[in-house]
Parts: sequence; C-alpha cells; structure tokens
Amino acid sequence: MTTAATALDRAQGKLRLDRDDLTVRWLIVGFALFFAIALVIPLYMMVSRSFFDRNGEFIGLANYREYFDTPALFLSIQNSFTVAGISTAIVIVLAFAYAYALNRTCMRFKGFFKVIAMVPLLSPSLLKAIALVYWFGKQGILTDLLFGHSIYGPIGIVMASVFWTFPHAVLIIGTALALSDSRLYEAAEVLKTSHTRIFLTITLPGARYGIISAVIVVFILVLTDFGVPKVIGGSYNVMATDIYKEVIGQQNFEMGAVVSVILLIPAVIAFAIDRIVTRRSVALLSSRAVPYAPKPNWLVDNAMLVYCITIAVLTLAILGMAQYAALVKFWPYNLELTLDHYSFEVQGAGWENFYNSLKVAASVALIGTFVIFIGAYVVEKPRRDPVARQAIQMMALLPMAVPGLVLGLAYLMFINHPSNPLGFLYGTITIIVLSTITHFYTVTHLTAATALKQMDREFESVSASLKVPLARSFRRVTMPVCMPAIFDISIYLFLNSMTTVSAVIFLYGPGTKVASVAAIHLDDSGETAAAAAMAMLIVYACIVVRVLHVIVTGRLLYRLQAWRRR
Amino acid sequence: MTAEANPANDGFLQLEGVSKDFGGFRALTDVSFKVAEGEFICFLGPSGCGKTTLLRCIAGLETQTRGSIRMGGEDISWLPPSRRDFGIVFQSYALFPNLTVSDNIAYGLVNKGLARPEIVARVTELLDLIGLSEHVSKYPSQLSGGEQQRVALARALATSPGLLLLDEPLSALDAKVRARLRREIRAIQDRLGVTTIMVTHDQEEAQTMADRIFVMNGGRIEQLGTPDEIYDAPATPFVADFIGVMNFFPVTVVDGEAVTPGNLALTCDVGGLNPGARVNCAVRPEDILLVDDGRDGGENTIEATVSDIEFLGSFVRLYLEAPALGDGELRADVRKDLARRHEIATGRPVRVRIPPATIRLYGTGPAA
Repeated sequence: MTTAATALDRAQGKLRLDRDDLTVRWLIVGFALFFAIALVIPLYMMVSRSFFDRNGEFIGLANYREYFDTPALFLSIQNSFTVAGISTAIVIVLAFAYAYALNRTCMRFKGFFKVIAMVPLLSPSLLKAIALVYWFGKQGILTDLLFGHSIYGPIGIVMASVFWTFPHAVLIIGTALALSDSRLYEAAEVLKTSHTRIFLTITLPGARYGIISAVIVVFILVLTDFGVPKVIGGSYNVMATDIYKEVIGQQNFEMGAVVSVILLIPAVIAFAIDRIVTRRSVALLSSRAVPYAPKPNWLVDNAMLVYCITIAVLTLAILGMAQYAALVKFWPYNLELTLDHYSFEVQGAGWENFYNSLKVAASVALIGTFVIFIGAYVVEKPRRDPVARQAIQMMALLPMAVPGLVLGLAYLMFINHPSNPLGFLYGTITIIVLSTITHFYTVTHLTAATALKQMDREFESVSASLKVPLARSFRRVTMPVCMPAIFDISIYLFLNSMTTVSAVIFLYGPGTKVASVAAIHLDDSGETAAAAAMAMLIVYACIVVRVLHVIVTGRLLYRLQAWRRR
Repeated sequence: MTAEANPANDGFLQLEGVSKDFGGFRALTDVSFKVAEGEFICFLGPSGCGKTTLLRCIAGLETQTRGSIRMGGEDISWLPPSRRDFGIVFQSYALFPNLTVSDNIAYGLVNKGLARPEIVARVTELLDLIGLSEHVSKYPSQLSGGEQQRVALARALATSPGLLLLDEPLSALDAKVRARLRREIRAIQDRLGVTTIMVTHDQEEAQTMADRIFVMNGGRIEQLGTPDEIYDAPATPFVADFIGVMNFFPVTVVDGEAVTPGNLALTCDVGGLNPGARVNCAVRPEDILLVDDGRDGGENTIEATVSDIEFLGSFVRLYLEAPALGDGELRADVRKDLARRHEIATGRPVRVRIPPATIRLYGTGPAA
C-alpha cells in the first residue's frame, strides 16, 4: 500500500491519497476493464468485421454496397421500420389511455389493472407470437376475423409487438402522468376552461416527455426484437431476423455485422434523443407541486373501466391461450389435456434448458446487482478523478443503445477470435451471464444512480472527517438506505434474464442453452406446443420469483427501513 | 480567552497564498490568514464569494490550486480529508437516516477502536452537552431541524477534533430556532475551547457568534477583525455596504473638507486623500441626527425633505431627499419618540446633522 501511495504521490504532484481514494481508483480500473471486455472490444470487433471479407481482407465499404444492392436485404430495412412505426403508434395510444385511467381517473380496481398491465413482462416476447398463432394461425380459433389475411407477416408482428411492449409504454407514460400539479388544474378551472382544452393544454404537454420517451423506447424494442418476427414473421423479413439468418444460416459473419451496424445506427440516435429528452424533463415539476387528485366522473370512470377490462381480457387471452396450447394433446384435432409437451422429448430440448435459465437469471440478478450498484456508486459519490468517473458513466449508458442481437453477435465474434485468451469461455454460462448483465446494464445503472443521487452529497465528507473507511460507510449507510432500489434492480435483472432471447441466441453452447432459446428452436422445428410449454415454464418461474420477491422484500424492507416511518 | 491573545504569534491554523481555480473560474485568490487556538471565526460574505470553497479547502474536500495550509504546525496542504483533524457540520445536517441518534454520534467513535462502554459513556456525555438525552434511540426523521443539527454537531465533536468546521449550519432553520442555536453553539464552543470556523451569509449570525469575522468578496478576504471593528471601521466600501446599512454619496476633496455635489462642505477626516480627489462618502443611518427646529445645527447640517417613512419596530427609517448631496436618497434611523417630537411626516422639510467622526471616505464605490 505504501509503495502504491508513494507512486501516486509522484503522479499527482504533491497530492496525497488516502486508502479510500486508492480503493476508488482500483474500482475505476476494474470497471474500465469490465467495460472493455464486456462492451467496447466486442463492439469494436463487430463493427470492424463489417469492413472485411471472409478471408480477412480489408475491403472498405464493399459489404455495405453489396447489402444495399441486394433488394431482399434492403427491403428488410423498410419492413423493420414499417412494423416498428405502426406498432409504436398503436401502443402509445393504447398505453396512454390505460395509464390515464390508472393515474387520472377514479376508476375502480386500479390495483388489479396495474398488476395485469405488467403481466406481459413475465413472459418472453415470442410467447405472445405463439399465442397469436393459436388464435389467428392457419388452424386458429379466430382466423376468420383476419378476412383472408395471414397472421404470419406484418399483421402478426405488429399484434405481438403491441402486446409485449405495452407494459413498457404504460410504465413510462404512467410515471409522467403521475407527476402533476393540481394547482394548474385549479387555475384552469377558475378560468372556466373546457375539459378538452384542459386536456390539450395541461395534461398532454405535462406528459409530453414521457410520451416521447415511450415512443422511442417502444420503437427501438420492436425494431430490434428478434423473438416475435422469428416466430410469426413468416416470409416477411426484418433486420433482426436477417442478422440471425446471415450468421446462423449462412455463416456470413461479415454481412451479419453489416446489418448489425445498420441496426445500431437508429438505436444510437433514438437513445441519444431519449437522453436529451429525459434530462430536459427533470426540472419540469417544482418540488412545491401539489399532486393532482382526480375527481369522480361517472362517464369517464366507467368508460375507462370498460376499456381496461378489455385490455385485461386480451392480455389474459394471450397468456391463457399459450397455456392452453401447451396442455392440448394435438391442436386442433385432439383437444384432450395432457402434460406430454412438458417432457420435451425432442431434439436437444429438455428441462435442463429451464434449469440453465434459472441459473443464468439467478447469477445475473446476484452478480449484476452487486456490480451495477458499485459501478453507480463509483460514478456518483467519490470526489476525485471526475474525468475517469464520467467515462465510466458513459460506458454505463452505452448498452441501452446496443440491440441485444447486435451485442450477442459482437460477443460471438469476440469470443471466437483466435487470439482471444478468453476463448475458453465460449458457450459457457459465464459468457451468457456477462452478456446479459451488459445488455440490461443501463436501466439498472440509472435506477441505482437515482437512488444514490437522492442521498445527501455530504455523507462521504462526513465519513472522511470521522476517519471512517469508505467500505464501512458503504455497508453501514449507503447500502441500507438504497435497499429498495437494490431490490428493484435484482428483480428487474432476474425477469429480463429469464425472458430475453436476443443476446443469448448466439452464445449458448452444448449444455448451456436457455429456455427462451429452446422455445425458439422448438417452434422452428414445428414443435409449437412444446415451444409454448417451454415459454410457459419461464412464465411460472417469473411469477413465483416475482411473488416471492414481493413477500421477502416487503418483510425485509419493513424490518430494515424502520427509520423511514415517522 | 485565547482569542484576545495576538493571533499573529500563535497561528494554530495558518493559510498562505491559497488560491483555487475551477476550470477558468477563480474561486479564491491569494487567501492568507492565521487563526489562534480556541478562536471562533466566521467567514462572512454573499453567495459565490468563495467562503464555502475556502472551508472545503481547509477540510481537504477541495484541493487548493496554489498556496499552503498548516494546522498545529504541520503542513496539511496535500493531505486527504481522512488524514486531517477536523469535524464538520453541513447545512443539510447530513445525518445518516438509517441510524439512530446515538449511532450517528458514535459513528466516528466505533472506528477508533474504543470499547463499548467507553463509546456509550462518550455518547451520553455528548447527548447531555446538546441537551437531547431523551432522544437517544430516535431516527433523524423523527427530530426537528434544530434537533437534527444539534445531533450533527455532537457527531462532529465526538472524536474531539482539533478544528470544528460549520458550513452554514443554521441557514436551513427558522428564525427563532436559529437565534437559540446560535447561543447554544457558541456556549458549547466556549466550554470545549475547540477552534471553530463557521461559514455564513448572515451578518447578524457572524456578529453575534464570532471572535473575529473574515468578510469575503469575489474570492478574497476584504477585511478581518472583531465584529466591532468590522462594523465601526469597515476597511472597504464593500464591507461598509455589506455589514449593516450604509449611505453612500459622491464628494470631492477640497482643502481638507469633502464637498458634496450641491456644493456643501462637510467637515471630516480626509486622511491622506489628495485635494481634488473624487471619492465616496459613507455614513450609517443611525449616525444621522435630527436638528431641532429653530436651533442652529452647526457644522455638517443638511437641509432635506422626508420622502418616505418605514416603521422598523423600535425606530423609524426616514428616506430623505437632500439636494445638497445629489440625486440619491439619504437613509436616517431615528428613535420613535424623537420622530414623534419632530412631527415627522412625508413631505416635511427637516434638518439633519452628520457628526464629522462618523463620516468615512472611500476611494471607490460600494459596488467595487
């Protein structure tokens, strides 16, 4: 320690660092290393690969020229944007109405509808697609409602996408609608403003940042989603499935890299816009605002109730159909119920996929929460090394802009590179866990950072003046105070790790295939019922863990957070 | 008390040429001073004057760009906060919300390797000191602002630091609590004899609590002195204007007198000012006297008209228009009974006198 301290003395001129400063430095170095391996180097390899040919010769933009000269591939861009655009438009309208009902009306059973809206988060996106196949597919129950159109293609992609992105939009818009100042509404009423005008001049502008943010998030989710178009896209190609086909089908990594880069561009732009919008929205509401309390309105409340019931029924219809399909012997000819589909006695699928999923999700939740919280602490709290800490923060924000499939491909190229000493990690649970933590890093980092920002800036100064080591203050004060955020992060990571497909589909090895990927493969080989069963396993696990999480954290928080009660 | 000793000889805390730049912005410029052991010092100044930055440099929470800081004979300029000997209290209290009052106070003690009974004894002692013995096991959120700030004080004092730093400790409290805590903090400081530096923007706070006040402006110390010196003999127009209320009007030095724009010659001490110098004349409102009707006011008597009256409790403040002094208004504070006797009313012509000894001349204006 002394030698390190003297070395740093020299580097810093005369400035001496204490043990805590050094600890922070080591952590910064650690995180720099982490992001280099988990993000920067793989992405760099992926991007650079798009400028080389199969033999490793640099060919500049030739791959891109080929891409834009291939009408089939070029068409995918248009297709991707079309379904993403339409889905976004539909979801935003539906979600706004739903969030409005939850936050701005006196509708009954709000608690129930809040929970129901979040149900789609407990299942992979492909489950919605599978359920739609049973409702509207060639042998579906309601196929006639499509008037001869096929569910396989844009219609199916849009419908499934609307279902799975709905909770994301409700969450974001709901947060915006929850923040409101009743004084604005009182002022408007005193001025005898009509309801329509109040809505157009106060409610809508107040939620505009939330709406913009939801538009961006949903658009990117749909644009980069892989599970839905894979299952229900039919011959309607989108960019995400193109990457998969180029890489897995044709072993054309270079073209896969080209599509990835092209997919990366709109994602990065959208993400940048989202960051700017979010930053602007911070100061929108003063701390003195009086929260808006909705007044009963028979017509609006009941209309909203009907609307929310409709959404709830549709949500449950999707989940219910997936469950039903998993239990039916041979759709649609033999509707006897059976558990046969849960034995997965087909090519390479099995219960071990589910156990792998649990292993991955638990590891991501445990390790990820730990890493991400410490990372956020390093960014937010120390005084020294502001430049290095800012760099870490930028790294933490970057994963949001990288589509899962692109990240997965980047990892594949990284880990398969002949000169990579980490090559032995190929196909291991470790690499799947690492990619998943990275994939979901940004949202959780922001949650942790927000919690840390809410703590007094001077805690660390006080601790230093009292000669208490950073590690002790971290354990004794920072962690306990941030416990609710830490629990939120862990469950977010668990649920998302269970349901994600995109990054891991390139990374599993023999014996490490996870359930969501297995479901894709089962569906691919025509075992739709088994695919539904596999997807439902994920749902059960998510429900059980979610419920356990509520109970355990409720108890723990009640005990640990006694100081919050006055 | 040690504060009365000559601080120049025994500088417990000594700063020399301390400057601090934030990027292109210079927050502190060449700050030097000595503080004697046991002194209570206030850094006083408007927001943005650098007083908090100076405090944070002494604590090591900021690092000075140039200059040196010595404490107890040791050069601490480059030491991290954890290796300096101080306790600190912030405006926001910064109490650990998840720890009880006693755990907060014991926070720094646990680390010193003290035995449990010793810690308990020390915490009890400190709780007595701040008068919160009955609140031992409460959480900060269950206490009032004033109580929280007292706990923060106890926590800072627990490890018996050589230096106590208070960063606007009373600014978040309401007026009554603030006034009481002022006296309590000062009493505790007297009892423990701990060298204390407090940052404040409230001149009344500084004047009631400090042994010496360092008035700061634009990253420099404008004047350091006892509260009396600062008030009675402000060294610069800034200090004169910032501490209390001050009238300013332009004058020209002619033949050892100050001549006003309206050609009235005021007797006063012109010091070493050159004849013909255009300077600013400063007078405190309470030094301006009303002259009885029909009596000769003598030197420095000025004709004026009352343009406005403000009632300020025990006295009234008159806003006077005096053509002899130029365009500005002259503020004069007059006891209520005197104002009544003179039948003061808006529009009434009055004569006022400025005693020569109360006039101060500055080469520059108050805005400088």
